[in-house]
Amino acid sequence: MSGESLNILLVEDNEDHAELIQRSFRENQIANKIYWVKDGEEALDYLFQRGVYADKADCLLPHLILLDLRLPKVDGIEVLKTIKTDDQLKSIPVVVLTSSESEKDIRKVYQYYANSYLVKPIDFQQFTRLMRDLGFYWLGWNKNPFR
Amino acid sequence: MLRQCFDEFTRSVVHACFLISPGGIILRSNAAAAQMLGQDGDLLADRNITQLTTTPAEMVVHYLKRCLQSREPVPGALRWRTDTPGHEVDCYCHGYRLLISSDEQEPVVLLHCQLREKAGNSFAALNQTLENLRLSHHKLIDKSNQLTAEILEREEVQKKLAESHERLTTVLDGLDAVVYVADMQTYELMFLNKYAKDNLGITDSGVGKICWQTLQKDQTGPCSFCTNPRLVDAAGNPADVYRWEFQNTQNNCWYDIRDRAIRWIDGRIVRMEIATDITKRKKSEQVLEQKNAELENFTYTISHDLKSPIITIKGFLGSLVSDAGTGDFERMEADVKRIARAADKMQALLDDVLELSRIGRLVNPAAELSITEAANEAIEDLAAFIKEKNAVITVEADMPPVFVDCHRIREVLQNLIENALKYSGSQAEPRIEVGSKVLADGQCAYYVKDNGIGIEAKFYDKIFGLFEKLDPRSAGTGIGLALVKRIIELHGGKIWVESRGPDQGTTFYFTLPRQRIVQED
Repeated sequence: MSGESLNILLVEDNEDHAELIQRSFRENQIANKIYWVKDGEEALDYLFQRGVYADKADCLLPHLILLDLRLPKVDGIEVLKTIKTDDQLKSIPVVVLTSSESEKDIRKVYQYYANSYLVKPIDFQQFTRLMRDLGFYWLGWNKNPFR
Repeated sequence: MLRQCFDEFTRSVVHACFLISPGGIILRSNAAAAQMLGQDGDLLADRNITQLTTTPAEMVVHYLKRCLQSREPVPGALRWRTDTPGHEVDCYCHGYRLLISSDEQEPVVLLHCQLREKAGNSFAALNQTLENLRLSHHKLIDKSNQLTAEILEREEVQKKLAESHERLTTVLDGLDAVVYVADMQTYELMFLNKYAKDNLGITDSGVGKICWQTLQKDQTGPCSFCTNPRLVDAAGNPADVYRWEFQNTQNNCWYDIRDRAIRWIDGRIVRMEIATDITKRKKSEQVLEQKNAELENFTYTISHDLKSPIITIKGFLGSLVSDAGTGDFERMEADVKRIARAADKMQALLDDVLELSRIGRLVNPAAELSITEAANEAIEDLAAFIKEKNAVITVEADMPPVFVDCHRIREVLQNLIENALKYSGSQAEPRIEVGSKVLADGQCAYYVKDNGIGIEAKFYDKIFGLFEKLDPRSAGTGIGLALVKRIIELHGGKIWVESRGPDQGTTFYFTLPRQRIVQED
């Protein structure tokens, strides 16, 4: 991977899943800074630097957002809608990472301009491979305007 | 004097005129007479009429005599000689006796002659006119007879139509459907069957009333949903049947409606509506739709929420294998704990799903339940938790009783009180109050009020969702309030939440039936 420091915002309410994702990234040397928030409201607070993030200078805009859909307080679709309708945030790639395989969800997230829709695999090997490929693609091969 | 008058009088007359003495002497003649006989007028003077005519002299004398004796014009016929030898002219004449003035001693005859040929033409024309008149008269008589027949026929048809109309209205009265007829221009009701009157609360015949005022509620003019424009074609003639479904604003019943423009007995194009009550079917459909939506939502939630712990379990199991290889026992121990927690969560979710499926129907018959007693029982069951939280709970005495599935409502109270304890936040002395209040509409609402962490208004609906938790780290699966809501709604009640915001406490209100409700199948 490149030596650039790339930031990921991980929006995930399940602590165990968040740990698995971060562990997969670490073990695949996708050495980037991952900032983990536990619900939709916190994600928006982080992105808009408000609430508990109002005074935090290290709240860098992420190069990639990994977004779960079923979230407490503000759900993933609302977070996506807010990001994609904000002039400053809408260029950030948003990868939906969820356990839902519902076609309705898939249709809806693309309707709100998600950049990708990934289903968390149950199998551990597949899970780690997906995280590795995801990191390589979005943070390696893919070019985005913040880099 | 007489001669001068004659000249003056006959100058412009187109027929031959002669002034003749009793002896037959022609005293004067006009221009038309000279022209008829082809002789100079002067040559005719003083000649005897018998010399100028070929009619036998005795007939001429006799005719003149009759003229002199009669007070009325005397008709006759004379044949005159002309200056052309062998050419004679036939005339119809009228002789008038003229009384002479003082200088003339005897009466004279004014003879007015009209050529028979010309007169014949006039007669022919007259005859033709008469013939035409006769034909017209016959035609008129024919027409009159025809009209009389038509009128009789129409009267017969009208009679049959009236009979048929009466039979129709009798049949319509017997139908188990709303049937009415209204004028399409004036909206005036012209017929309502018995069923319509019974079901729309119309006590008289309803005829003559305005449809939108009588059949619907709170309309200030013709209904916006009126189908009249669809019932006639561009030329204003009746079109096909228009079928639609509508919930009547007067009695709130749903109807499957067939509308059609028809020609009424008086010839007017009217709107006829036949509406069958489909309220039961509609309600079943609505219930089914709601159940389907709930089921879809339930399946979605279950599949997602049950899948999550499996991902955790499989993920950390895989991690364990690699940790075993590297000998990272510390991480292994933590991962095993994660696996165990995920398995427990899965167990809890499955138990909750089972519980939720059990309350799909209320199984216990409704009985009177004192909310005060039910709340006190819940407090007894939660005694340990209350002590742990150091909470003070007050229950209003003698709250109005309800008619419910007692077991389920005890669960509701237990859940709400437990919830209040769980989200008491950093309160050193959590206070919980169970009570009742009368709402603006007179209904009694029960409440469970706490001084805990409170809730923002934007999350009011979300907290009742299945497996929804505002704090992912809090204990439980997030089924409690979904369960409570389901039980209350199955009783036909309502539940809602109010809070002044974070750390301002929360109040859950709910209503329940105050008397026995007969459940419809």
